[in-house]
Amino acid sequence: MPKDAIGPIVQGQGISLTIDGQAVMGNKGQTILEAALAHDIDIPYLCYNPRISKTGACRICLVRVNETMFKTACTEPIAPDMRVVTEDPELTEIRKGILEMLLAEGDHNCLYCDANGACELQNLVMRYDAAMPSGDFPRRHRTIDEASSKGLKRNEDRCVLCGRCVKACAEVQLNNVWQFTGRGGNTHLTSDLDAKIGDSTCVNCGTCAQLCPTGAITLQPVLGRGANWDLKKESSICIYCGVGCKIDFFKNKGGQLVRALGHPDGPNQGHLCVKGRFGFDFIQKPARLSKPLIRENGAFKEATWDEALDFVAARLKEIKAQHGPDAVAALTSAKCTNEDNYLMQKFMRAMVGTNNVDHCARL
Amino acid sequence: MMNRETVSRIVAARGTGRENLMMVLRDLETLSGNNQLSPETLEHVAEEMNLPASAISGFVGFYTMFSTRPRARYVLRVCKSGPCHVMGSGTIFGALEKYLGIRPGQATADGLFFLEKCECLGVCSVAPAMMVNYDLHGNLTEAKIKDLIAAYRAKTPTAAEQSGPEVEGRACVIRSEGQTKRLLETVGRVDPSSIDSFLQHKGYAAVRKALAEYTPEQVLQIVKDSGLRGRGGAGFPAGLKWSFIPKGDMPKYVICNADEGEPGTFKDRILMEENPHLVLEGMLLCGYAIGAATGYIYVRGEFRRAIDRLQGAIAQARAKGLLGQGIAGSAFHFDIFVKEGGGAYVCGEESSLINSMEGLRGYPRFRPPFPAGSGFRNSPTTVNNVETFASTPLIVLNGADWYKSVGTAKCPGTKLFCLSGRLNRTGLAELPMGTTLREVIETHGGGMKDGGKFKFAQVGGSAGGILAADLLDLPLDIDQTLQAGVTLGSGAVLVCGEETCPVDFLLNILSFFDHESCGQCTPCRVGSAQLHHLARKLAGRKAAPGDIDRMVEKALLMKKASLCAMGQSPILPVTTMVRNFRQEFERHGHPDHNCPACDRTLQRLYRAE
Amino acid sequence: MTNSIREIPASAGYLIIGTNTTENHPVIGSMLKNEVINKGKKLIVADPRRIELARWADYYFPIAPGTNIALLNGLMHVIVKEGLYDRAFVEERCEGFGDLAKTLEKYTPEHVAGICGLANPQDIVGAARLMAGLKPMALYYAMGITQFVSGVNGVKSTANLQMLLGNLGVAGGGVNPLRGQSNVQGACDMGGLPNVFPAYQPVTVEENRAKFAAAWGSGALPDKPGLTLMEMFNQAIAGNIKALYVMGENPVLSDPDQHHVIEALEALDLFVVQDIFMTETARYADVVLPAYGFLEKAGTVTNTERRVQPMHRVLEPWGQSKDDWWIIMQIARRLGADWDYKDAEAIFEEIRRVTPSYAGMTYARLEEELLQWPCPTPEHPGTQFLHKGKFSRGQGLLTAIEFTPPAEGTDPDFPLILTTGRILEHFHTGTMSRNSRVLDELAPEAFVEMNRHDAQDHDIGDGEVVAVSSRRGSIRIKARVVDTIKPGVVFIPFHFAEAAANVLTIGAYDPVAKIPELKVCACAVEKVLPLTDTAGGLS
Repeated sequence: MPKDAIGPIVQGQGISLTIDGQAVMGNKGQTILEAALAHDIDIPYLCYNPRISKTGACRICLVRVNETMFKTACTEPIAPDMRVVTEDPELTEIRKGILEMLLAEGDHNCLYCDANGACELQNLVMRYDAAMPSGDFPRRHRTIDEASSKGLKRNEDRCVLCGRCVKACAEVQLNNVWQFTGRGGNTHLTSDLDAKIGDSTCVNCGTCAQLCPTGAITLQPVLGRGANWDLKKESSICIYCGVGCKIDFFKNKGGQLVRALGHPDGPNQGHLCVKGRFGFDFIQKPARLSKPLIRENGAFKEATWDEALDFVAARLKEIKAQHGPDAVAALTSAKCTNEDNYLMQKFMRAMVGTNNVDHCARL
Repeated sequence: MMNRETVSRIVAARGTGRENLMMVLRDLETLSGNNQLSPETLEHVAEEMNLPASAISGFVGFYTMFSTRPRARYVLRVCKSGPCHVMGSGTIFGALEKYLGIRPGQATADGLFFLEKCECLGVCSVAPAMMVNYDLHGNLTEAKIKDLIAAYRAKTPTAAEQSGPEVEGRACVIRSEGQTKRLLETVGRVDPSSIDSFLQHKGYAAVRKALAEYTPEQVLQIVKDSGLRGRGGAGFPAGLKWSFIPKGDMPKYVICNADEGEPGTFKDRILMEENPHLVLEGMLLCGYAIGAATGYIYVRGEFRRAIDRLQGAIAQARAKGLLGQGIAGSAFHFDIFVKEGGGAYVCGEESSLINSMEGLRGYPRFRPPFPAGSGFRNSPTTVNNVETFASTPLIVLNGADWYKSVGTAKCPGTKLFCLSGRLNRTGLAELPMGTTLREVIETHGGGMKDGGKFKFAQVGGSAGGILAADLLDLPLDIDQTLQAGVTLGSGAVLVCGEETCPVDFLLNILSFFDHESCGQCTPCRVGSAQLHHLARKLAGRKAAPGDIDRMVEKALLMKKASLCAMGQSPILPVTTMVRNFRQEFERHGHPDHNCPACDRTLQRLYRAE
Repeated sequence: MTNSIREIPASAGYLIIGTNTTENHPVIGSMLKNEVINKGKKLIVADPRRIELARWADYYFPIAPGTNIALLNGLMHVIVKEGLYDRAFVEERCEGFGDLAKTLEKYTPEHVAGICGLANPQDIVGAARLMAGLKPMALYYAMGITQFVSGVNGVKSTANLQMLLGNLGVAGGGVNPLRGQSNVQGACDMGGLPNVFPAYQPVTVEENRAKFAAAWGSGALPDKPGLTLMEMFNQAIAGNIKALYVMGENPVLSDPDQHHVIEALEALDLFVVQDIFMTETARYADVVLPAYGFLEKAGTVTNTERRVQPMHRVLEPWGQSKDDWWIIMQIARRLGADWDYKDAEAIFEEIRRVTPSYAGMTYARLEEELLQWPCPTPEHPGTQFLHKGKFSRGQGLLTAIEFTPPAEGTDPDFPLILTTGRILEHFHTGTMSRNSRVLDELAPEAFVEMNRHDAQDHDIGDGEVVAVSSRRGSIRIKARVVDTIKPGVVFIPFHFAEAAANVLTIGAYDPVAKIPELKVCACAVEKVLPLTDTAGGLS
């Protein structure tokens, strides 16, 4: 989680406690988990996510407080002189037991899962050496709907019912498509009134998939595919509207774009809309212009850069000489960088000698 | 088919706020004629109430009284919880199948009857019981079923709905010598539909006294001094709970928990039906003590008669100036409203109850924050049980010392015991805290039915522990039961004889928890289902070696890790049952074990699961 | 935006006017919804279409297109008349109140309701009172305020309102235009406008020209403001513009009156297009130069809240495409420039020297810090909201503004008002979004949205193909019949070349900002009789 979500210790509000014997300072109102994460103390969790309100449902983050009590670190506020133990044999047994319950409840086959290698459940199963389900307990089959939506794939057999998707839609996107329905062991997701996700009011922002700790809700592939551990990540800024969402783009070994995730530090605070989430494959579309073109006898003909640049420069010179600099105009671009725009206006003003430069600010 | 105008009318009548969702849906289901909330209806509701469709879907899917599929004009809900199980609910399903040709989940071809299994209906003294739409019928036998079916067939759809006389509150009070009648003192003498009758029996005298003589702090102190402990099951000191409500001018709420769903418990229903003003008066005193102006009574939706009586009592109290602005001429304002449940045991947990009141799925909330700080509408809220509230007028009127004059030192006062099962007399008895199980059974329950032999009792409802003969002389109060590894809980005493197989009984309990787990937290959601499965294996003679210990381990994990008290509940019945009857359990592990007691019910009751 | 996105939670309420935020700026739209739905903040919405946000609005005004100023004046009328304005703020920090108040006198709720086509004048009173109690209230707008012949006055009116309410210079307040393009803010900041150098330094000021001439080592710089985009096309047709160099724009689809734009492009002697696709505009070019796509570029962009953010190269460049600045530099060098920027950062270093509001920013700082201009020095933390303590011009100017109607009114031949805009899944001319598979599949075709009553009047069913015509042209398009648009108004998104809204729109524009009136023109909608298979396809 981003450190600034926790913030510095407020003067006079600091609370001192110990976590695993380590003296730790936190702010009033912080939970044990927040205080621990701020100090790089690792407490495992599944339902917690800093972007959404607290749930306290998965129970994985259970810690021992003041020797005798078990509390969920994600919901329990820190208190002065509190003594927190994040791992001991009994806690390990509890976590392993909960993980084995989750494994038995679902159908977690990593080989066929989009989240393989980027799965929070998988990480915990390995960390706690949770056993494969014996098959003793019957499993309720839940919805698998990987085709109805252009944006999302849903395989609830991989769901741990952490509720992050429900809260992502209720608190981040505010579309409230997801909700739990049923009860007890029959609890499952619904979208709208049990619509298929593709037929629902989902706006395909993909926040549920981004927050899903497993492969229960995943994004439809856009261009490339690849094992999660082979993907390379780099951040940039969305090309669409003026919000300027910061996005982590993932590409595969072949250089193809695979997915886009909202970056927590941008103005978007991790959120994206459907365009930021899915609207980037145009850049690798075969129709992209790959060579300069010059019109000859009414048709475009491929040219080298030197030919094209020489042609443009020569014609500009001629027109400027013949008709004056104000016969030349340029449209710079709200899609290009500050540097591009700066250079375009500098070019027009300093090299052509005209202020005829504008762009689509008004459109 | 429900048209948009109908939905619009109902929403306008009930209010567009999400808190009204339960009542809007209840009304629409009744209006549907076939007890259905169709997807089209729900779409209209979402639009008319400006709520997400998923919120409606999640809500309807949580509360078992609702169905999105067509049912029939009459929904027959046959109870299968503990007391009815012990008293032979299995035979009821058989009788219904015989007369109607339907099994649970099926409707008759004429569209008149739809059969459902349900959990405790709160009329356990007349088990086995069922509910036909909102009519309750007890003491069912095959012959009575036949008559009832014929009566409903002949009934015009518009005819008023009516429960059987056997479930009438006063009929469910045991007439035995040696009871200490305080809460029940006037039951049968007070006309519950008349505030004047109540006023003639010192009605609202405590409120008048408090308003005239005591400050809110003094009322709180009297309740604290009385040592009154919560009667819902947890036994938390009531005065202390009230004292957690912060001072100040913010909105505060008094909530009466009348979601009496603990199998074997029916005391709150009787108090509400027979003495509704006593409950209102208790809430008034609480409101005065903590500075609240609004109270709600959350009644389980099945208790139609209690709801009607409360509504009537509230209307009369308002008319008399005992609710509303300036109560009894004082500067104290307080009003009370009724909220209904929709079929969810977990909503008896106070934070689930609050979520349910807000139109949400009845998921318990993590704490802190506690309701006292942030409860209903995120405002300070105290939630107390019906019996607790009903006790406070007596305490304020007669004083703390009077209250402490009976009961045990740490658990003063009387307790309402709900007697059910294989007893000669079943029903409600008011006895001092600390009365022994033997006295409850022999003196007030009239001994074992038909001279049978006592085998065990479950005290405190399905979440309660199993008491075998060795604990017959255990004084039943809150602390001494805990020390003995059991619980007093809600005061339900379900008595079983040799006819009841412990394995079968535990299966019944664990199927209840599986059915009622809210599904929010992992240990309870998965654990309840796994416990149920293990019990089913055991009862079905399919258990593997070690399954009994696995049950204990699962229940222990649930106890340690669950979010609310419900997930922490199965450990007690599981461990106490196994401790008392381990050999019988082990015998049921053998494929060819012959147990006539459980064979009678197993196939009939559990085959559909 | 005068204020910041992260201040949304600091507002007590919002006035949303002329922005369909949840479709066009969805991430901000969601943040607004979170405050309103989950935290009970107040919301006032004005739009001819009952946009999604209207669902949670305390007051929703379905105003006729082009009547924003009347509504804003009406709200201010009540605020002034009832003495609800922030007297201290107005007295200490503003000027022009007297004239404004005088002008507002006649904008009574009834008068305004008549202009805007509102059924309930009392709502204006209610909303004004509500707004006055919201401390602070943020005002958000977008092209629904600006794309009118009265666009500049519309913007000034929003400022009037927020000054009267004392909502400027405070966190959670502000006049917040939502910019529609990823770097439209930066393009303006960088002087991509005909009248100003970077940081809005006017070209008409001798001192500015001298400064830039010195910085650039150039000769005397031109002192006459250049042509705006719309004027360029007019002057091309007039024969005065001979060469046009277009970088990353698609005016054939984005600009009003498409036939007029094409006529202009065809009149040019030299037309150079630098883009990533063969756009509708590039088809008319003499030279097409392939540029990097955004994920191939490094550089900086500035968002709607003046926040400057680094872009990183994610992908290797496509084919032989080149970075935009590199192409410009190469042409410049052929025209005699000695430019030799080795990368975008080198250009940014030059930008810092001539752009005071960016002077304190470096690439290193941008990687680590959240910086919003003005950021004048390397130690400056950037500016979260503008006008704190005092306005940049000194006193805030309250401007008396009269409502003026749109350029084109309806008549019996063109009885409906056409308004244009964007939809959630697509962007601008579709060059990017319609070439993105998921987006294209989600929203594959154009539509004209019309009110059920209008549809009934014209015997048009949902999904039927209709002809939409204006004085400038006609398109065929599917009808989408809804209850959410004001009767008498139709809406067409302008993303779709095959049913281009801008064939219909009017080339009238604001006299000051030269912004075209894309939000209002008169049109007619007619049912197109189904053609038999043998009758040939639709045009």
